[in-house]
Amino acid sequence: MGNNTRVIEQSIILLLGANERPVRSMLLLEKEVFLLTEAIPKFRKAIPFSAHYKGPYSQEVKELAIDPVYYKDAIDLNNGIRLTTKGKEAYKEIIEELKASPLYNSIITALKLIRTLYDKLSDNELLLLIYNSYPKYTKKSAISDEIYRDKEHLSQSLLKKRLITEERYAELSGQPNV
Amino acid sequence: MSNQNRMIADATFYLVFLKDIDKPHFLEKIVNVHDFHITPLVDCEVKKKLCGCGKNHYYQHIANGPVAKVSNIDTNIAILIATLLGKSQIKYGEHEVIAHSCELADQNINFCLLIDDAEARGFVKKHLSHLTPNMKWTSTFICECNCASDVLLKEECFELIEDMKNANSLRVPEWKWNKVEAHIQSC
Repeated sequence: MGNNTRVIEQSIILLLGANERPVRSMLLLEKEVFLLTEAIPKFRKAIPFSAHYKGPYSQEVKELAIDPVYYKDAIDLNNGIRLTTKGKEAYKEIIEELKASPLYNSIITALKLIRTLYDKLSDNELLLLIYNSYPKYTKKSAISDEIYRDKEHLSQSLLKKRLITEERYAELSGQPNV
Repeated sequence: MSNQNRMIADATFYLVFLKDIDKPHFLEKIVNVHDFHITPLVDCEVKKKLCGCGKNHYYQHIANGPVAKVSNIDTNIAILIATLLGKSQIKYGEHEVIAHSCELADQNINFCLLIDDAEARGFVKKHLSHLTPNMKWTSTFICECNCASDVLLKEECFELIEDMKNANSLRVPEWKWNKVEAHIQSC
């Protein structure tokens, strides 16, 4: 345990605090933390992700969301994942600390973008996008096979929500543009 | 337009002036007045497309000029949008200009986002609607270069529009050009 544990917990709290809405599932939270590490390299150094059958995986993220070490009682896991009152106070403190960082503005934008765009995805839609965009983090499995088998339907659903462009639909589904 | 002079455009904007219609002097006039922020991938794509056609020096002159700046982005926020766009949209830097616009919007900095790709525009309107008031078609921007400021003469705007219509690389619909022409005529 050490500085990295703290950074992982802070990144979870930052993501949860970036939007009033709870994060729907643990899988979504894990992947949103992963996306944060991709967008902000500073986080990537502290939060290692490895290849897994459900895409990039970090055991630490899951365990520390369930049972944080530095921010006890900050996270409520009932009916989605959200911050408790204590967690909201911790969020404000972390934001205040971050203000001194030259990366502050980029971090805020990244958090907002992640919660705005990726909260709208179902778990399977998210997995399809992650498998396709980050193949090196994906171990072939029955689950990945199932997602790929359903890629046309999942891509259609993403297109219907206008979360992907028609060109991206064609790339994901293997079908020509609609 | 003076309070919205930080301009963000994808690669097609620069390429239409420098390559497709070959009127770099108009781009120079515009860049001398407006504060253009060029994102790294856009910079790279424009240089690549101009390489070997003898026009790169115009772009270098603009990109190294006192006003236009190649942004030094050491984070990779654009990747959050790239996952959702197609390869050709990424190639022209649509994800970068949208992400950079989000950063400016979050800091309450005024900017103008020039996007002509219909799908990218639709994506912004649907999911990042706070950027919509700052998003413009290139044709609307050209119109403003005459009607809201004197950057371009009326005749210059018409000349540009005619050339751009024929080049069609911006994929601006015909009705949009017609509307802009009528507006320039009347202003």
